[in-house]
Amino acid sequence: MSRPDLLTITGARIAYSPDRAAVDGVDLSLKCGQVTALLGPSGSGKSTLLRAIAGLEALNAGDVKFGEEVWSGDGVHKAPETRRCGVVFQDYALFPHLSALDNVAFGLRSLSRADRRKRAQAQLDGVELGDRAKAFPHELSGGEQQRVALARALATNPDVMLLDEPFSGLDRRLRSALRDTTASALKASGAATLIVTHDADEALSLADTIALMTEGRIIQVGAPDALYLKPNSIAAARLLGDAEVFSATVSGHSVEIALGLIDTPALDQDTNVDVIIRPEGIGVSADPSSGTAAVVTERRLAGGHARLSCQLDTGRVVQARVNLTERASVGQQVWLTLDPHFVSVVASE
Amino acid sequence: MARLPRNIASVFVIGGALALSACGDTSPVDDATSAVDAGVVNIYTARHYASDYAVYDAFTTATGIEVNYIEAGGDLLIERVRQEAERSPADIVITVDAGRLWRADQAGLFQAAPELADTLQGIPANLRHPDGAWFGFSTRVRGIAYAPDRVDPADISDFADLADPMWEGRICVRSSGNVYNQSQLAALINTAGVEAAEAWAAGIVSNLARAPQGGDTDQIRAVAAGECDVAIVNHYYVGRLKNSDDPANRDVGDAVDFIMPPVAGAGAHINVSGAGLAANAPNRENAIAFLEFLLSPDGQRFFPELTNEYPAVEGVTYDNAVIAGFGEIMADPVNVTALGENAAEAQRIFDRVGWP
Amino acid sequence: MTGQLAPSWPAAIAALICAAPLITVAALGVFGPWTDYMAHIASTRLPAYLTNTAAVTAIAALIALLIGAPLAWIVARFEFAGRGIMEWALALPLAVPAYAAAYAWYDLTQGAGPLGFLPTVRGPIGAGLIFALTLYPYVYLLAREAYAGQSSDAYDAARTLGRGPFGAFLDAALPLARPAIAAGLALVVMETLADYGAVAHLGAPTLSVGLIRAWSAEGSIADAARLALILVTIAFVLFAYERAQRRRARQSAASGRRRPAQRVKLGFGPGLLALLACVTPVMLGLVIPLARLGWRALSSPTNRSMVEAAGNSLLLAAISGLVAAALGLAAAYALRSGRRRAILSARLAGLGYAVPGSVAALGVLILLGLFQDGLDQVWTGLFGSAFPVLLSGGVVALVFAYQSRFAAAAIGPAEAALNRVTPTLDAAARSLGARSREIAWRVHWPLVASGALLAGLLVFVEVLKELPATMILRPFNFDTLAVTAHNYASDERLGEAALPALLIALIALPPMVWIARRITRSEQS
Repeated sequence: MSRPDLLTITGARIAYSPDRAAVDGVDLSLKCGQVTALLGPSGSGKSTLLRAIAGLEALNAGDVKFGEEVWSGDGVHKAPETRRCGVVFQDYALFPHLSALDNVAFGLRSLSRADRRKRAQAQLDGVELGDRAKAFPHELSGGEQQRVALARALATNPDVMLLDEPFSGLDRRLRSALRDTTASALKASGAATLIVTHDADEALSLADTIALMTEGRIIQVGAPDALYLKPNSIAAARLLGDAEVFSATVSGHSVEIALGLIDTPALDQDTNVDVIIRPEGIGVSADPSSGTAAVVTERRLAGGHARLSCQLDTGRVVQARVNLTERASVGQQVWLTLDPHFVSVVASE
Repeated sequence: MARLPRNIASVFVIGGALALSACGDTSPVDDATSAVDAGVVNIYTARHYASDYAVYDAFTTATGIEVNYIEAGGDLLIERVRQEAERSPADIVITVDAGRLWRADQAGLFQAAPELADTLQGIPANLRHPDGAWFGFSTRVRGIAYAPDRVDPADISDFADLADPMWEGRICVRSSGNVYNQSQLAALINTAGVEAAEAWAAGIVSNLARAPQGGDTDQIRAVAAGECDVAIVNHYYVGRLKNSDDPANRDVGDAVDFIMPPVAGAGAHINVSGAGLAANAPNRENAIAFLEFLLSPDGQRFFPELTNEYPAVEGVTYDNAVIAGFGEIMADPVNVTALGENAAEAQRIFDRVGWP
Repeated sequence: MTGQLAPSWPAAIAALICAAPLITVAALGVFGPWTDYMAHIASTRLPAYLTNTAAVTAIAALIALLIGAPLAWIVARFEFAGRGIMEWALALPLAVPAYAAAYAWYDLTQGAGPLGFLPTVRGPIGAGLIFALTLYPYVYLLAREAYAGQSSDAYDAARTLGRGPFGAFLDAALPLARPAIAAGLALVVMETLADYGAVAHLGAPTLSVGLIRAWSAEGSIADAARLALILVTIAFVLFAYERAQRRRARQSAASGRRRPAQRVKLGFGPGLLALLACVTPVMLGLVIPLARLGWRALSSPTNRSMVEAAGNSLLLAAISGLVAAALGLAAAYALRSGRRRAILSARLAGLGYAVPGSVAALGVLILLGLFQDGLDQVWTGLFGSAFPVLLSGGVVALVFAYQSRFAAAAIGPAEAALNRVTPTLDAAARSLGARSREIAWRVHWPLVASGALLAGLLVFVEVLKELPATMILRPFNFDTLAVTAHNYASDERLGEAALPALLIALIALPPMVWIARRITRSEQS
């Protein structure tokens, strides 16, 4: 039996009222053995899309196919229980009346009672919760609940894993530890995985592919680094992190902004563009031989970097992310340079 | 509708007075006294029939005395009078069987009414308390409704015959928890003793066509429907069906004949609805007037004419051809007091023979 | 304990007042004169009474569960034509007194009846069926509340783990509503245990029949009280067991964001099936029995006006419903306080429901008598005359009797509602500077209002139907619909009983609609 390796969503639309669609013409595909993150602000329709893949929502238009098999669409709606999707819900949705072990064993109906327990126990061991098998959900910590939910979803050996904000209720340190456990468990499962999240770091660190979603539409799909370095719109850029944006007009084969001249070989003359610059792409130096003059107005630490606010002569303030070893201090005159890897030029909307 | 405001007002007067007095207001509302001034008689009754309302209305029309009543089960009524003790507003207590009257008398809830002595002479001696503490005012006769096409009434010259194996699977009767069955067996205990009564009850149980269910009317329906051949029922349910305005009911009534055979040779079993003058009656004179009225020919006629009961007073004329047509009642001469005395024993016999 | 919102003692006292008549009955059973009746009954009918009681109760509970829980789920989770009406119509059979349904169904199905081809509704099975058909709304109403407030995540999770819609309902949604369903079933069981009229008519003598016999034939209220204590003990053991069972798997849902349940629109076929499933119990529990009574009524018209009785019924039911909502909440707080004495008194108050109405009324009578005695003595000492008011025969006595009898119906929903108020909510409100009274008003009340209203409504309907206490404690010339219906029915005049029985259902209708609407609205906001 050859397993299809692709879940494809084409033109998916879900509307609760005619004038406003929660999911509005989404195309997306998930590959087996790969993790795709669906990143977007709350209310962007990403959870709805996840529920549609699981069969918990019906599509108004478009389809969901697993390989050649139609799951949703064209008058077809395969029942959730037949889709072989494992779902980790945002609040985990553990059954409060069942122990951790029984929660994990819940989906293992075809096995004998003894096998069921053995399998469930193995799954719990896999998420390092073997010793908590008899505990009830209300006796477990948040992180433990999350891992039980993960084990429960994985226990049925699903083709598709869907995780809805799986770490949102957890504290930061726990989150990164769980991220690793989760990532390795997902890799081991070989399932096509979709993680819905609003946390860019989570998406960047977990996903093989990221899909960015706002207002019911997917605005960009790609590898994490490509997406981070070359967003195709301001919205896409902002979803993944901070960005400085300058508006400009193409002149010849380049645009000129306050920070210098940027090559734009592919754009036509007189095109209005937005120049998007990641804070890492702005270099700060005390050497006046090159760069744009600016004055440091603020210095803050953020995640092992220093974040400098620099005021240009035009009055515009830009953020630069630099190594902690960069000693420029508030009030100091500095010169800013651009690293073109961190610069993306897109046509204005 | 006219009564509604008064009732609600009285309700709140009581509630309000309680609240006021709880706040230390000391103006007393002596309801008993005001009741006498207003000319009322307070009746605690276990009956709730058209005949009774007709008696109340006729009494008020005749005397101007208002009738206040509470209807509830006899056991609870007795308990309420007992708990209210000397403060009870009850003037008259009415129950639907002699057993409970006897028990109320045992509890000391009645007082003698010498004023009624002459009137009571009209009631057969066995239907009233020997000392006049209470008396029956209407009667119900326990008899047998049968299907004339399947039963020869000559086979039932006495209730005792129904214990014969020839009736196996042919008898319908209601549950032994019902007071009519209790009082009939109590009468049998009085006539024939406990052992004979127990043997008879056991015989009935082994002849039942079906487990006891429903009321007396349902037993008559079962005979009409062919589920059984004879049903032990009170006469007035038969009378009501035969007198009904509803053709369907009349058909049921007309499908059966009714006889009132003696019980173990002693005569037909009779139970009474009875009344007694409450020991602490606040409106004693009005109560006497009411009881006099109840036993007058005008009062007595309502029972046969509106509820198909027989009047307790002898010689009262009434218009109800159906129950008059059941023939003359050769009544068991036992005093109905015995029904109360033997009620407990009767119930235990039912328990022992497994009459559900 | 400073964190406690409501002091537990007023609640405990309220609960204790409700429990007082039951305590009186218990005292009567323990200290009353001993006869040989218990020995007699033990050697004769007691086994049969107990078997019948077990059979009738089990059948009633099982069928009520099978009707109430799934229909609550369907109504709470699916959208179909007629759902809005069925949502409250499903509660209506509660307005039909069990004895009235028993009379009607027996009349319909006995040999010569129009439905005589069906097995006759009689015996323990017939009685169990009648109780299920008239009492399932308890399960339905409480379960519906639970489902409507439940996150759909557990159900969805079960679906993605391989359960079909029904399997997910059984394995995930049903267990989550278990406390509510258990509370509903508790009411079904207790009312079944306490019933006399229906079981006597249908020939399924239960313990309550034996108890009434001890009283009516032997005149022994002490023995009646003893048998009542057996009933109460049965109820107590059943519920203690249920509570112990679910103690560990505590139902308090984990915190976290909850997805409000979205009703799923059903297609034409399934929608029709859902509607049919909802209509059936309403037909069996309400329409058919009332139609039978009504048909009989047409052929034997009554000439007594029902206006006065209807007014009285409404008055009593409304007052009692309001008081019960308050007392139910008080008792729920007593339970919440965790104090042992408070819990005991609240649980005791709830058990009064398992006592047959006439015995409960007896307890009230005795209690009023004692109280009157005491009052009279004190009053005489102070003012030289007896206390000016006779306690029996007033609305105050009636309302008191109803509270003690129906406290269980009031406590259950209130307790379920109060479960929504988590301790963190109190803490949050307190940290925002709210004082106790303010917390109660601004935090607790909005959360528990629908439960309190439901409690009040259940008692309202119960009081509409109640008989023995109403009959014996009412003022002079004070008829209610239930009394009128019963008077006719007990005299085997079904036709005349129909109109008042119908009126009971009709009077129960508007408040039910109002509350159903209110609850639905508060869920949407």
